[in-house]
Amino acid sequence: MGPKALHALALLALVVVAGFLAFGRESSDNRVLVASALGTTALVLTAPYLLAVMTSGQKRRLASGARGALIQQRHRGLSVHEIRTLLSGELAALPSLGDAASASAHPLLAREIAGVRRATARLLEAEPRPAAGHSAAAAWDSRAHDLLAAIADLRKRERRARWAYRLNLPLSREAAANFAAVRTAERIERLTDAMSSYVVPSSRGGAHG
Amino acid sequence: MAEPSSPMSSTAWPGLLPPGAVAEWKKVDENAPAILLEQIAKDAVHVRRMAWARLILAVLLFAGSLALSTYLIHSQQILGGVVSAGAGTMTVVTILLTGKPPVPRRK
Repeated sequence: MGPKALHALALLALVVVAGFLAFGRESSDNRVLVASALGTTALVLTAPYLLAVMTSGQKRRLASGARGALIQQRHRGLSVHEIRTLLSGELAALPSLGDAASASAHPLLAREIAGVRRATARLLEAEPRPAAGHSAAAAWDSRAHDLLAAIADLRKRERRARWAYRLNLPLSREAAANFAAVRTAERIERLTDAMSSYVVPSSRGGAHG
Repeated sequence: MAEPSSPMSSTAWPGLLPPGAVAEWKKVDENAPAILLEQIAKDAVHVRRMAWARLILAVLLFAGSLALSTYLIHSQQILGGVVSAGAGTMTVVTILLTGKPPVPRRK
């Protein structure tokens, strides 16, 4: 987003400045004409960027359309099998640290995403035994519903956090700490890489004692 | 790893560090994770303070440029007014779009 936006802004500024240099001293009759021409040019030049920004959210929502619709509906009528399928799909779609697309959003909500991911995996691993009777399945069902609601809430908060990050607004305390931790991790990795070129691998026996 | 009394116990910091780094450092120095944690917290506080300062600066700049442009347009200096408003807007947008914490790159 950054380079594109700056590019569009630079184009806009160029058009405005050029227009004023060319027509700034004209008589006031032409002023409206010149202003509208400048505005149209600027709009045409920045239209691709504006269109991309406006439709990107729609595209993302359409891509996960069926899933999102299911999440936003009430799940009370679904069977356990359907909820299982839904939950494993959600678990796969949750952002992770290795996912390059969600890497910018990850530090914003790292703790929450990790917590929901862990809870979902735990729930999917624990099979609801049919012999345990009706109450166990009902408990599993309600827990699954809670988890689906938590995932939907997480997705909403992730979208908001991503916008706050894009607009460079002050992040929350946790998000700032997570970004600092990520920066420190990269520093540690660079240090480790640098040190590995100095340390002789054959001296491992000395560290044993 | 994170003590419940630490200032950052509610964050995901050990998971964001390279795996095994904290354990390795604990072998070398018992206080190393605590010192690292303290430095990370300080860094986070500094970044947050700078972000708030940046936001306040942007708001003040925008208000100032609008006031200046209003004054200039009232005194019949249309070009100056438009340039003032445009420059203020562009400065604020630049402040808002640049200088964010970098995206972590993962292989």
